[in-house]
Amino acid sequence: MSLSRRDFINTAAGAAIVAGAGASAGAQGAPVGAEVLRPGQPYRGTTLNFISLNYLYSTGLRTVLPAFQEQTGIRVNFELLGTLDNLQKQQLELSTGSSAYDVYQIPPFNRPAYHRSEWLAPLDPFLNDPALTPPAFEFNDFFPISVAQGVTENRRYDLPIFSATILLYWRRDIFERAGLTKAPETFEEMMETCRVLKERVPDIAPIGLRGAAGLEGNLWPFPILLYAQGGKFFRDFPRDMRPALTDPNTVRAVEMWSTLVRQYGFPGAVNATHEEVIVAMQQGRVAMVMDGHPLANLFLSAERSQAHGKTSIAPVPRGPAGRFPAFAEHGIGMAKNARNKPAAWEFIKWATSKSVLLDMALRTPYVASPRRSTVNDPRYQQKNNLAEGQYLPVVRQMLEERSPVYTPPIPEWGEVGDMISNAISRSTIGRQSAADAMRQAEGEVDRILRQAGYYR
Amino acid sequence: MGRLTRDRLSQIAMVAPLGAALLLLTILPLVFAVAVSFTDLRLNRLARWNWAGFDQYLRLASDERWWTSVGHGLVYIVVPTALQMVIGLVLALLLHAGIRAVGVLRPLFILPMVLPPVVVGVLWKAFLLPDLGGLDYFMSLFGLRAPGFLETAEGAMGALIVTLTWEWTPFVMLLLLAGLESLPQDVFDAAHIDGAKSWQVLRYVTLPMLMPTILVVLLFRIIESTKVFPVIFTITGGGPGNATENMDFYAYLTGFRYFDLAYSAALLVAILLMMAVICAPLYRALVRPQLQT
Amino acid sequence: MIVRRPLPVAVMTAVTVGFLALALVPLLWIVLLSLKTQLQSFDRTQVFIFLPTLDNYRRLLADGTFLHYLLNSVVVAIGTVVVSLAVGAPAAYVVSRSRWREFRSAALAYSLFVRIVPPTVFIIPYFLGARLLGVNDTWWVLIVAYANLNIPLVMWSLWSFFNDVPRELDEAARIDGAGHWQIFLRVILPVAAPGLTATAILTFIMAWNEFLLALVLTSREARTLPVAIVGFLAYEGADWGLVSSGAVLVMAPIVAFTVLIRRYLVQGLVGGALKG
Repeated sequence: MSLSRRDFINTAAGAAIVAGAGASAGAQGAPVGAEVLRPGQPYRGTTLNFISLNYLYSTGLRTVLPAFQEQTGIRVNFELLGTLDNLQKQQLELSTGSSAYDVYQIPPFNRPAYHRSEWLAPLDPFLNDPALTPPAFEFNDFFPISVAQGVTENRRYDLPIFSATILLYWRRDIFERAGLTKAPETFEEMMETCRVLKERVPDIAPIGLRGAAGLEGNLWPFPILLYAQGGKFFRDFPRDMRPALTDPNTVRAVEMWSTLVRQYGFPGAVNATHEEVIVAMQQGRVAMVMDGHPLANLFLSAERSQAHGKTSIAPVPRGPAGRFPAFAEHGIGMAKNARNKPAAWEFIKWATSKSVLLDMALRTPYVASPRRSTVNDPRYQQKNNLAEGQYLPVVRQMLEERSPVYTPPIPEWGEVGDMISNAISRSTIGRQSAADAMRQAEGEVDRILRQAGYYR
Repeated sequence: MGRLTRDRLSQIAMVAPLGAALLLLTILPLVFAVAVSFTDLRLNRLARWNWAGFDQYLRLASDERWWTSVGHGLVYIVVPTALQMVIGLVLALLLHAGIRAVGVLRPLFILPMVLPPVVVGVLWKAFLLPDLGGLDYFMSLFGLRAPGFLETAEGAMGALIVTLTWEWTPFVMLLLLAGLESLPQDVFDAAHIDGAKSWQVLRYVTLPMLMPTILVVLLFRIIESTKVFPVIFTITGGGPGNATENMDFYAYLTGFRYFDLAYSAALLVAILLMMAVICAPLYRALVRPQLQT
Repeated sequence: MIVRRPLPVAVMTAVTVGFLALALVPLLWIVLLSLKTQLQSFDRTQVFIFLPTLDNYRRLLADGTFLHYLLNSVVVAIGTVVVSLAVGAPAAYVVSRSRWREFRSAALAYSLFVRIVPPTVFIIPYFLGARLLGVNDTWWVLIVAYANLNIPLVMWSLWSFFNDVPRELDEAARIDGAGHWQIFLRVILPVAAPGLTATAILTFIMAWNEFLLALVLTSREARTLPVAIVGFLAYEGADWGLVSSGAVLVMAPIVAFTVLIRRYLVQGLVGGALKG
């Protein structure tokens, strides 16, 4: 909950004070990100508009922003919005070729649409020009999986800023009250664990999941379960793109998901986004949470969360078909019609530079850095030594084991995913059976894909 | 003669801006929206489009989500409106029966209807939050658990109905009270002198005389009952599932989340036709007396 | 009054006032919420008795963007009032004085029709039109869009106020050689001033409250307060402190205005319909 936002604001105020006495200092005492910026303030007096999801990296960037403004003389306006507002606003602006915003956060599941529609300016000319990008940027320091996402047809449209996977957080104390000692390793076990928890600890919901429809709602964790149960979105991606939503394994996964959310979720889980999941965990209202690893500092905050010190972390469960950890990469890029592209590039490379990502990670709850140097830094490791040291190793394991195609990289995914997530949600609330909901979605998705020309 | 012409001209000049606004800002956009509904225009490729005949309307006919949203839309038209009318009428009668003390506080009680709908939504969302909201707190004082607003599909719909009833009952109350106050008092007196009981007066004198006002108020409530977008947007976002999505909301999502402007336009044309069908009889009831004066 | 009452007045008073008071509880709740720290906001032991803080309001106003949106809201609302009245009032006068039945009937139909059209219908043409003209995200586009929705309301409302102005006044002015504009400006408007004020305030409230068009037609420059408040719902977990204090500040002027025009509210809202 916004407890964390208060933290950010306090930190931001602190940063402003430091900035008043000079730019906020980075690791070596130089202003943060100085090593990648062009000397001599060539863009002094420019104003940039940055639109982004209001999330850990954007609030983190805002905290360290004074250092950028001081060093470059560029003013950056932050427009931070909630998931849906952000998506809608971004796409309205981009699709009509507006230049109201220069710099965009790239929502992970809509990235293919952004790239294919050529809404963004390719970054290669900036990245490959040594005058604009000094060696200190150390492009090779990014994790390969993180940078891979930003490229479509040999053009790079965005740089990574946030690499997320999903973990299973579980409350040892509550499990103990139910006579349980270990986290479920398969989804079948998870169902059983929930049943036992509900029976023996009836005042606490067994599990916290994002039940709300949406690409960044239920469709973010759901594929873990779907793939584990042998279900799929398409018959044979990418060769046969006809939807496979009525596949028995797919329907079974939707049934299990619906049971987990409706029967074993916390009150309101059917319409919950990550925000409600955070509140539920912090208030001690759930025994388990299967949600993003970047939220760990919020879930387990020492000041704000009852889960602090009582929570263990485990890999996400597997199923008959194996384990399929989640992966999502949030990026940062610039609009094709950005007014001042060189200045926008200054901000983008600064925001994704080694020292800025590290500084953010050390000073704010931001943790999901796409850079090796951040993750290998001892101070980072010490700060994020969560859940008795289980956190970082499990995160690494999940990122290594991630599914090759977690969400299909097709430009239609925005619409297709919305249809599917809506169907899952209709099943979750019991309006339709899983089979009926998926049959309806199959028709809708079929129409979209057919129109898009994937098949006749 | 010159004066007459000048008169005529100045009258035209007084109406001209309205005519221009009507043409440019209402009729032209409506024609445009209708035209768009016969294309395949998408927001993310505005430059390339084709005429698509009745394709969008054919799609609409077999779109389950659309018909579900129509059902929800009808619920928002019927249920909150009925509750508002009944509660508003009862309150108006009670107030009319002589509670002068309330007069001073009247502005406070009509507040819900003039508040920004977004604020109304935020207000009720905060009040109905599962476990954390005000309702849950007050119920817990009596050892009760609040009904699961926002926890199930039915609960979310219930939350919206409660909110809309709260928001607009004051409108009904205020207008019916004004109607009651403008009724000639001597008829009541005569009825009572004839020995009629209170409920008989109500049934045979007050309500029939108040009926024109009731109809007007009802027409206004029905017209306005489709404008629930901000409340849905803030409280449920149309969810869970599509359980609280009405026609407007679905049309909005179609156009501005899924970028399907053409289909969205077709949905909007359908909404417009539906509203016309619903409002036409009431409209006639309203216009006729107007013209007699 | 000789009306016999089924219940003693005292009981009815108590019931009615009690019911109405109950209806105000959610309002009270949000005001309380705005005065609490985040830790207090969901604490069952500090519901009514707590150490109030203005911290939320300080946070809200410390960020310059709220004031920016406030300015937008004020400018757009006032602009809408000016344009709507400038267009609607003369037309309402002509309609009110017209003896041509079909004309009056058409004017009434128009006023109602624009109300019946869901505002959603306008968002596609307006959005594309504004893009085409390059006026998206400006005060102007909102003022024009809001004026379109409000002119019918202004006509509707002023029509009845103008009807209340005795025609003898017009006739007297006519005999003195006044034309329509002079009658309208010098005779009708001064007499109908209270109605005009009430109509202006109603229009202000409508423009101040509008959400959907503002959501679609503005970005960051011309964003108004209702859109901004919804934004506060979307932090990492809603920041109820910001949301509630923002909500309280947005409703404050509305409360003040409602108290001011309470006498004319009914006539302003339904205009001629009730008088017919």
